[in-house]
Amino acid sequence: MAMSKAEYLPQEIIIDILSRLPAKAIGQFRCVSKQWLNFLSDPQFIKFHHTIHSHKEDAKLIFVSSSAALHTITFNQNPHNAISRNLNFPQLSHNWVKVVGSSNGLVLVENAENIKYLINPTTLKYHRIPNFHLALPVPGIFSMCGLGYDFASDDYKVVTLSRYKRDLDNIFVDVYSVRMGLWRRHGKLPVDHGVPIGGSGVLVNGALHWLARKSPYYSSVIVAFDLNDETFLELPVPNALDDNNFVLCDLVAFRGCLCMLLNDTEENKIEFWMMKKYGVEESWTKRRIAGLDLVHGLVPFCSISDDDVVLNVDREKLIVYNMKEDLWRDMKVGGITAKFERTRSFMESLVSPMLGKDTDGYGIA
Amino acid sequence: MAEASSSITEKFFLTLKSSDGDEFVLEESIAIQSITIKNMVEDGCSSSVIPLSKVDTETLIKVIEYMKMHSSTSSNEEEIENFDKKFVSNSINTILNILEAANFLDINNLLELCAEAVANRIKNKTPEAVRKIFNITSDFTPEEEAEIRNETPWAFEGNLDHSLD
Repeated sequence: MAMSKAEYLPQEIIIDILSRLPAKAIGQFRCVSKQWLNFLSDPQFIKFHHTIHSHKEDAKLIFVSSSAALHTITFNQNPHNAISRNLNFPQLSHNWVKVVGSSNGLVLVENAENIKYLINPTTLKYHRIPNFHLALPVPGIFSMCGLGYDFASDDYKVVTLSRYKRDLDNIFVDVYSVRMGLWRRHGKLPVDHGVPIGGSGVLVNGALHWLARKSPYYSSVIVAFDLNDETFLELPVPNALDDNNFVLCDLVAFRGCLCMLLNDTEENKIEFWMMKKYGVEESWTKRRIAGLDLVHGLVPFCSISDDDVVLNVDREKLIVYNMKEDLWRDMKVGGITAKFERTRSFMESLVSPMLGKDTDGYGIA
Repeated sequence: MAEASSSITEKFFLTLKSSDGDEFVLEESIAIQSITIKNMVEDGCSSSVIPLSKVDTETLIKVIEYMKMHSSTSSNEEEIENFDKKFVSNSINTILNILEAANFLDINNLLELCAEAVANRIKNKTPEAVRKIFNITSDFTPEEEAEIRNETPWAFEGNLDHSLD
């Protein structure tokens, strides 16, 4: 066999190869040599790396354990036995209650004191979201929260909707810019919509989405908040759904598409609707998932291969569902079937949650 | 009659010469997937043998195999996919050699394929193994290396990831 010429490879090819590596490998290979350390710590490289990987799908899960700690789940070659890792932030108290959402590897989490943190579960960097002085007092308000990325301003935004318990007409929209470190009140929600209680905005296509009911006939509608121009849009739900009982519906993002899940737990049937072309009513496509013994229904999280999807069943159990063969199996994490509430998906990335500070979000993670 | 004459007149052949001195005759339409060769043909340098001083025989054979499979006239998508899968199962040294040739010959698809393959092959390897593959001698002192490892403990946790039990 011919001798490898690897040491003569042009620098741009080495960088091309390295930019294709997952974040963890980048962190490891910084100790290969001084030259590689320079390549792999360069903010330009980290930005390039992020651009290449940002279109990829979430492949990891994060959840709050029964002891209020944050755990991540990584899928290995063997999809039926995943690995769990406890996230330890030495400076923070571990009284987490909720994972709100994720974008490009950053995850928005909330603790028992209603304080939100933007964390990167891969690099363990974090940024505390300050409290907004105009925010409504916590007891007695209904709210929704979401996290998203605005390409145009290269900024992460936290969006909250809130209203007083009995005041249906005034829904306040507050937006926090991570880059500027500032909250702004966007005004009131312009349409007369019910807002889900304590729900999370679903991030698809640069906008946060949630389900609402519209007066005067309480018809179903999906409301979107565009993170770039900060305007509200309405998207059509599948035609066939209009008269259904909307309460049993879940809105999720799956494979980059907005999806709705209708859980008919009495008949053990699930209708899974996928909006294949964003904003196009005719593109809603239905598929049925049958044969699962359900109490509360299920939520899909991420694909681990072309056919295998990880689903959360009844808000506690993880299963791997093979869409092609319509087969499912329990997923084990670290060898045991554990209970996983409040789980969300995210991707591995080097993006820093301290955007706009000294690091510009792309500094050494 | 017209058909026969057109198919005869449109076939041109080029001779590529490896760094080991071996010559390979290849249809021009296949060879010009390489932008470097295409430019040479357009500049009128193709009448004689094209010397590829940076590409050895073993590597050139692989590159020609690849160009034949990927030329527009032959093979369907499935065949190409299977070929690519098999192609990247070559040894990592071979792929690195092909990568260098693809860069020199300016064959973008091949470059992409090999870069992705190398990344896939090294992503789970230790820094020590990667040094060997890329023929790199560490220029860090043990203290410096330990410091870098300490700065990014998250990167070294993965393989040690413990199960819940």
